[in-house]
Amino acid sequence: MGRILIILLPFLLIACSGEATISLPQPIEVELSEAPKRIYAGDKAVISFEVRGEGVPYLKIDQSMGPVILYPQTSGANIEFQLQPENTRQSGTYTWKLVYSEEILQKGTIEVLPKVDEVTKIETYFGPRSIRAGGNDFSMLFVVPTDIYDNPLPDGTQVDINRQMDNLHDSVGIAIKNGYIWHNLYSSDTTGRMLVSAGVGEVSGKELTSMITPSNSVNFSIDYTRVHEYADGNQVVEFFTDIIKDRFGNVVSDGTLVNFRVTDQKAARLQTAGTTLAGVATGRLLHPTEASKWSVTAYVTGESKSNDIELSFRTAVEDYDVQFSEDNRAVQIGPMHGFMEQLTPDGLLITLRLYDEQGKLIDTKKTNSSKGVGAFELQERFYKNGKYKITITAAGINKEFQVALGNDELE
Amino acid sequence: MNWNKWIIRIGLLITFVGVNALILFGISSVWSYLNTGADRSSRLHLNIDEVRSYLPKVEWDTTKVEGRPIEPLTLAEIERDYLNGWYVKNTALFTNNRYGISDYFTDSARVKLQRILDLNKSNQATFKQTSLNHHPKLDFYSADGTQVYFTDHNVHLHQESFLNGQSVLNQENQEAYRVIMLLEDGFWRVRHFTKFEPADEGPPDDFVLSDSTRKLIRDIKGLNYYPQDTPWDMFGKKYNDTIIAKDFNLIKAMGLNTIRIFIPYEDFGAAHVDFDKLAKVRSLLDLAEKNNLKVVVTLFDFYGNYDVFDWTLNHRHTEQIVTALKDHKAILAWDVKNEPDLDFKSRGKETVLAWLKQMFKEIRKWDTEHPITVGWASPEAAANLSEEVDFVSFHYYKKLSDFTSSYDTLKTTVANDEKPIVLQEYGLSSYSGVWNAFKGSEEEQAAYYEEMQSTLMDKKIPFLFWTLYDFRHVPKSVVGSLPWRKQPQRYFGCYDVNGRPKAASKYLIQY
Repeated sequence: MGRILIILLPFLLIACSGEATISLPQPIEVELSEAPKRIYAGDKAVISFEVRGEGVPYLKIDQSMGPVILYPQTSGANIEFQLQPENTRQSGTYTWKLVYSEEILQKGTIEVLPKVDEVTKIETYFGPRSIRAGGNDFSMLFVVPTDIYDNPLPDGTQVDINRQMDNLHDSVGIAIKNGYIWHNLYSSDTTGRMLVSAGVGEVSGKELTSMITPSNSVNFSIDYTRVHEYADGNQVVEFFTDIIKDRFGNVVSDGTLVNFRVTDQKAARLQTAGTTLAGVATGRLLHPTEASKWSVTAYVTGESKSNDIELSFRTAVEDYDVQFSEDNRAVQIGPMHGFMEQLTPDGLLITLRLYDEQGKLIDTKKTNSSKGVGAFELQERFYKNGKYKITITAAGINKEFQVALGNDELE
Repeated sequence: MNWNKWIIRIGLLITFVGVNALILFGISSVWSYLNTGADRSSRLHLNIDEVRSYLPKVEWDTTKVEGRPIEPLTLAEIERDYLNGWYVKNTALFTNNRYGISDYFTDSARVKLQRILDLNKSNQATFKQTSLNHHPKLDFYSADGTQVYFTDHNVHLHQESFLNGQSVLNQENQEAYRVIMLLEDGFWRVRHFTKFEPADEGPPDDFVLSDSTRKLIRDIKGLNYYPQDTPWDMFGKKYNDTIIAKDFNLIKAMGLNTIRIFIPYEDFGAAHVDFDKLAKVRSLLDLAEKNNLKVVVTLFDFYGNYDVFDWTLNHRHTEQIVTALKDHKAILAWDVKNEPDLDFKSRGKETVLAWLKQMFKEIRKWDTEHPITVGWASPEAAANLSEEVDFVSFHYYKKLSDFTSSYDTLKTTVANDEKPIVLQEYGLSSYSGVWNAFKGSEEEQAAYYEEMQSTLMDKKIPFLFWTLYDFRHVPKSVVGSLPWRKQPQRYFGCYDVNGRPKAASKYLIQY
């Protein structure tokens, strides 16, 4: 018998371990005795009820950041829920619900107001921090003043915005809406700094700065300097602008790019550029190698341009000699003399063009003068014996020769 | 013996070499593991595939924005980060753990949230909540694009509260919040978040079943449809509209007027519905319309997780399916879920019912025309939500003799006499084999239908029987892989595997 019991025991246990009987909670009746409607953030809130019947309800409170559940403190028929000061720091609507056996027995709301008498922090956001002069551009100030518990202040609270600009000081008062204020602070006509701060009552925020930069430049004028007027391909012409300003007379920002565009007598274009320093930009170009006539205009792209100026260059070399060797395969140009009979500076471009009898261009050779002289060699392995036309161009002077290339002496 | 000595020697040698090799291998793997650093892209979080797992409906109002007009791209970023903020907060309230909070709340806001988490942790309170829709009205966007203020109206919040892991309250709130967000190192973070008393939203319009629809439901004579070769996988790769067309012709010829089809949830792409599959459904509906067949569409097939954290994804699924199909003339009704009462035990009755109720509201939001029902597994279960459904549907696979009394009980439970009650699934397998000791037969099936059909005729009960064909194969996901469950499931058809009418067809074909 004992054995059978032992064998049966596990089965009996399994049979008994079915669903435990759930004791249904007894219905209770509650009556609200005390619940605040409005409190200030950081105040203690007490919500109490009178309860008839056995059973302990909970209080669930939905607030801004999330819900919490409170346990009651019981004394006789009274139950009391305490929302401690550290849990009422967040302002906004708190909805409480008295919960018992999955049912909401009572509900209500508490409005938690920001603690206005203790403003501690003014959060300010200011941007963009760089704006242009002229009163069209602005920096926007966004201010959220908060109480000691980091709650935005109630609507209607006055926020004073102070501004220092152009040695003047002004201020404006704006009422909070939805917990914040925003205000556009426009630039004046002069460049400089705009200093801004916001305050509520006695409390002030920090100083904020916005740079007012010059507006678009207006048309300007240019001029040039050079050492001499000869087209020696050696000296440099310097172009410069006057002080470039915007329409309010502010000197444009340093580093403004100015492009100088040059068109010569053959409608060829040259360009140089410079950036401004104290409103003045300079650009440099090498003198041409032949007599030229330049017309120059400068631009600040998209904003302004200068007047046109003209400058001309006289030829530096009046004439030059060309000497051929016996077989005409070595050509020497020069010595070339400059405007004061000096040997022309090294580097003058000399071009030789070789044509055959039919006038067809066979080759173009280039060299630079050295000590006033330039030389070409026409070797037999490239250019067969025969009749050719040779033209030579240097310093804008053309010379033409009919030559017969003979046997190369070197071979 | 010398042999033994040698064997021992060789054995020792091999063991020695083997052990050394293992040790060296171990050391080298540790060494190489310690020497692999994070590669650059993972350090910069460049290759994170973003999976949105929180998709409540958000409708922005940007008609009156102060400060500066909002760009759509920025608005999308704000929405993403705001919702992510909700998501991490919901998770934190459930676990009382701060993971992810710092990404979506500024330092000062974080402190406030942590205070709540600390209190809840000490009180052992946890909350499972999800917001279902947001109607934020953007009021301010700063000139430099780094601050926004908006009021989030009509936030529907579903919330389950737990104390010591026990559910204490299950509720839906309507909330409103004032929100200030700041752009900080690439994230829009919540700076201020203040709840305020929401304006009262009137009750939703009541849906009234139109007389014509009621007549259609009362007259339902139909079946639960799956093609013979692809049962439980109708819209898969093997979808073939010629087969469907042929079957629909047959169904029409049988004198039936309605079919019930199933949309599997995961298979259709869950929250991001697969448009190819929707196109297949549409082509099926076209064929149904051509054959004068009405279609009851059952959603969420093979879905069994009613978790609150899943809700927003479920809702996006429904939104896409319902809005895509609701204008089709073949649609008769939406069946939200097949036999949800079978999940009561594993998922909790309250959770399942709350899920269903919310789903009714969602569908009603997108489709104000078609009635909504739930295919309960038994007439007893069909008493649930009988107030909320537009018509009651139940399945019956139990003893034939109890049918009338079960039905009558259900009929008295349903408060509204005008509400149609549909027998949405019933039938008997003609399986005869080892697993039921050769008890079933086609004759028995025919006898079942003979009696059933006459009862249905007498009581004027609309019906959808299970099913058109015997199947060659039943997938494991339907009834599991046990042969005594699987085999009978194959023989519920009115036609056998070769398309030959079974004895029961005599009672199922309507003249």
